[in-house]
Amino acid sequence: MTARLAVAFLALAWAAGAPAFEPHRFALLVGAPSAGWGTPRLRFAERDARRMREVLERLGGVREEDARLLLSPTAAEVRKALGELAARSSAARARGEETLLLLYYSGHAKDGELRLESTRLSFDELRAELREAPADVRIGIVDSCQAGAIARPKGVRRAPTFDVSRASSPGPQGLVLIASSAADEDSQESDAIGASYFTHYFASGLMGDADASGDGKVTLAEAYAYAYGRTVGSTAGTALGVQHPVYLYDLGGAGDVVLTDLAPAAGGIVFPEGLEGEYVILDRSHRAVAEVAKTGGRARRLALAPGQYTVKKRLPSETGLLVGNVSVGTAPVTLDEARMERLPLSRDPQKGFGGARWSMLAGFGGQIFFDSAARSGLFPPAALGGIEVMVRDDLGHGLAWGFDAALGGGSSSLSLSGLPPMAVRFGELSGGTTIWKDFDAGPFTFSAGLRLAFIFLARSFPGRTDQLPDQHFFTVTPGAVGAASWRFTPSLAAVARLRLNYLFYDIDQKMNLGYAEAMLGVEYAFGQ
Amino acid sequence: MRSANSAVAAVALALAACGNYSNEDIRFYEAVPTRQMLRVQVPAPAAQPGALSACTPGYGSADVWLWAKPTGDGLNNAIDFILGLVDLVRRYPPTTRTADSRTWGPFDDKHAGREDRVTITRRDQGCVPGGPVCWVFVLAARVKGQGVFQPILEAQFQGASAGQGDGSLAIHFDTIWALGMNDPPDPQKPGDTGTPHGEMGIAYSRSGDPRTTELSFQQPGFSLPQFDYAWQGWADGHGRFVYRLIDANGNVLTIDARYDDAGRGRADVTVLTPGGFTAGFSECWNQAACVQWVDDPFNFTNICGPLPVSCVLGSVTSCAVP
Repeated sequence: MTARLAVAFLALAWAAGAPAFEPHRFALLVGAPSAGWGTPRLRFAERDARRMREVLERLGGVREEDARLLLSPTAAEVRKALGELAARSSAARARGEETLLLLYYSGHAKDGELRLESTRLSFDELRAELREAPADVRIGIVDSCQAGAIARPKGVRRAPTFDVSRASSPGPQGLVLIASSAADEDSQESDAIGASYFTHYFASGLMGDADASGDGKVTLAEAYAYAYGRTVGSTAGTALGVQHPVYLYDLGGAGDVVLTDLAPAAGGIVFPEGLEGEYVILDRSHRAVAEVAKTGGRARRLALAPGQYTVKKRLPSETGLLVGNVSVGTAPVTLDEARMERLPLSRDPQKGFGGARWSMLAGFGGQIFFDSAARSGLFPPAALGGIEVMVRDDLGHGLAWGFDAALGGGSSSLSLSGLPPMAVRFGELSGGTTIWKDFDAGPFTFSAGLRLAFIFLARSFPGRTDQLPDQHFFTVTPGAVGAASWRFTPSLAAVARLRLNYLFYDIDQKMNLGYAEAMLGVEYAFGQ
Repeated sequence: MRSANSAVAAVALALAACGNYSNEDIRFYEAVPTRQMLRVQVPAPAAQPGALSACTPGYGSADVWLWAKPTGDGLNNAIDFILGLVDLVRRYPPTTRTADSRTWGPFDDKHAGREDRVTITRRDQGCVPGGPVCWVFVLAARVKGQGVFQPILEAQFQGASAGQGDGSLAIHFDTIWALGMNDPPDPQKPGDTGTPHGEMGIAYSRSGDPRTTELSFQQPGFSLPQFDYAWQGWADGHGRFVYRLIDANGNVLTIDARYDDAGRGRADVTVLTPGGFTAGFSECWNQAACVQWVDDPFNFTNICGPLPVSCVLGSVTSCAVP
């Protein structure tokens, strides 16, 4: 209840009428998925940071040159970037400009410290840096476990009461810290939405769903209030329990802090007055990019970047879904539910999406050409060992792509008519990239896809090096890939893979050859 | 349309194979002899020419035989020179391939402003009627970019494998001179006389027993006098070597030497003195190159001392090689 009152207070304080505050904005966006050895890698921390940058640059008035995106940085790199932005802010103030400095962090935190790879940045230091930063308004948004500790420092003072008589005074000044969870709570990521809950709703709010006043501008208070409510609501039923965002408000002066202005982004999806319900907007990869909790009575526009989107609405009582595709350009597109398709819940386009998942496969196998003449002459069967690094659900739901490399070889005897058999030692190096689709069947996954690879073959003739020079061959080989895997632990799967490749050979004569590569291996999934 | 064509071209380029991974190339390489195949392999006597050895007093060493190995080495230098040119094809992949030919080059020659080209053409019907598959090798050169290529080395290799085939090579030194590709004497190599004149030929046979190598010098070269040298080597280690040398007195000795696998042998020698006098003698030697028997009607060997006009020493029955 206390939190709700605080939100209401904050919203009221900031929503009051005041002169426009149009500061020069600087933003530092940090995505830190790794906290070093032994800590699970966060799947969406980097995506969260990218997403916030996109929203702030597109709608938040942050110029590209004034934004810094740091992915998997160290504490020193964060300090340096923050210092650079502070210096730019100081220079802007010296020119007479009002300034706003925003720091966003998505990543690990524990025991009062941000954890960036193997380095640490304490909340106290971060808070002090922001408090002392040469900007009129400093905003820190921390989306991490136990983030609330940053918002409960000793000596915090309550926000000053809003004074109408200062309406003509300079704009707001001070520090606002927003944390995605309380000091004793974990912040959660969602496989379904492919983001952390808090950032997902905060960004959705900035795109328009938090515009409670309907004035086409999303203020800091509106965005926080919206993200608070949606985060609490969405995490209430999770295994880790409800997550309560908190804030520290230390802002004086007059006016409001507008974080995004929807007006310049003329495009987007308009949810007309009559629509009600919760809508999820998915990009072409079926990743959630925004949500709208629509109530009747007033239209709402979500300022999306131009592109193709899928809009999903869950129907009441779990009776199904409405799903429709929307093409957003430079003009608003009004959502028409009558043109959306009704689907069963089992066909939820968002279902099961877990974000990009990285894994590595190592295995051994062999290679054999189908043509018997090639097999007994130029391309004898070879043993292969290889690795593959792959990422699933990055290009789209159920889609995967990866890079592979293999090394192999063997020895054989080459027989040419009229010549005595000669010993041959051969080796090969191949590498390629594959895109495939997975089909899950319980603990088994079957995959089919296409691969484009290169192959480098070399052979030598032991004991004949004075007479027969070494030979080599390089070409590109397209092919198809099929695989079956059995996941026997969350991180490990046994994989059987078959590749069918085409090889064009034109040294002696033009030949269209095919060969197969079979491999058995073990796949390790990172972050499971 | 242009972008479509570009895309097709890009795909075609990407799919184009490259390299020298070729079984047919191996057939061409196999047809070309290596230096080792053509080397004259004369047993090395324990003593050096002219050296005193622990021979039976009064008999001495068989000097004509002691000269066989250095002469063989000189011939091998000539073989190495020619095969070094032939080996060009092993250092680079073919530039052009057709069903029955390979071409290397043109390449810049080590002599500035000259370029070389090598072609090997396969004749499945043989170079002679009814003969085995034959490979015609031509190393040609020219002033870079000017005129036609002139053969400086021509060869024919018969049989699928040079290791079991016959062949011949001829190098045209006069063409090398005419193209300005001749080399001066190399001061680092004592006795080197630079590029000789005339023509030098090599014929070899590895298709039977004995294996033979013959070198024909139209002009002196490689520190050897003009002659048709011939070497035969049998699988059991015995051989025959016909060679020529000029001794310190200017006598030209033509030697027909036969030897066994232990190095014992017999030579029939013809001598042409600077004064035009022709003589001859025969001798045989043991494993230590000590004379066992000599029949020297004109006492050319001086084994019997200065007095006798005719010298016969020992018994021909003591010769291990008849």
